[in-house]
Amino acid sequence: MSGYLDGQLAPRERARIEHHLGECRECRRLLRGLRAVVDALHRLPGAEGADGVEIAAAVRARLGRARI
Amino acid sequence: LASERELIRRAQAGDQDAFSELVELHAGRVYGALRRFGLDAGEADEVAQEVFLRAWRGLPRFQERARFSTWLYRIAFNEAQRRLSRRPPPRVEPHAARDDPLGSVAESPRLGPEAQTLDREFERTLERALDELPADLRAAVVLRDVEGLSTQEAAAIVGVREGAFKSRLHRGRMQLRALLEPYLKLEEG
Repeated sequence: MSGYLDGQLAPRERARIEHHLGECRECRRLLRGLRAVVDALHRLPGAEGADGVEIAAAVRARLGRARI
Repeated sequence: LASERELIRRAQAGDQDAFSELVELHAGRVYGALRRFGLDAGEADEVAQEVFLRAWRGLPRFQERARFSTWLYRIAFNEAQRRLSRRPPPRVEPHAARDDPLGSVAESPRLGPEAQTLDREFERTLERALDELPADLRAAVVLRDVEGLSTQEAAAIVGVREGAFKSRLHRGRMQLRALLEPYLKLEEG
């Protein structure tokens, strides 16, 4: 079902699943659930608390120390 | 502004200023991935620095046909696994807590497929559901669905064949769906 959702199935396999989905209410519900979860994951914002400049400064300081 | 490719070439020649620019460009994504692989804020900050120190040392071996960000994800994944493996095993939670790991967010608004942005409450619920996944399934979901890598890239990062990766991804998504079902609008029509 994930392969179907990701558009990674061969046409014949895709058609087979679509035929089944047309007949099976439970699998349609399952697909809707998976799609909602994947859509929500795509929209998760970046984790808070990252400061690229601070991390770069810390890395730079450690590289400088490592050279001595 | 120098292109990323130019910065990489200069860094490979030993230019620390160029490397610092690369760190600034990528630190946010690396930190975010580390948090979602399961590290806390302090660990992610510390491990992000380790990731870039390793990247600096490995730069001579970096090949331009690879994406720099994907290469960093691979180092970040390995460093996160190393850090997670050093943690003591999780305490056994009281039975009630295990039965409903997301129970305290019972009033989360439901998410319909039409929703364009995530409600903050639902976002927290989703983050907590991700926390519930076993590390291997969680990494698959994070790399593919949160970070947006291709199946091929993500499978290479975790070091498994594409078939095995797809299986982990599917199991991870199914577990999330089961955990989040009470919050999803799944009625037909």
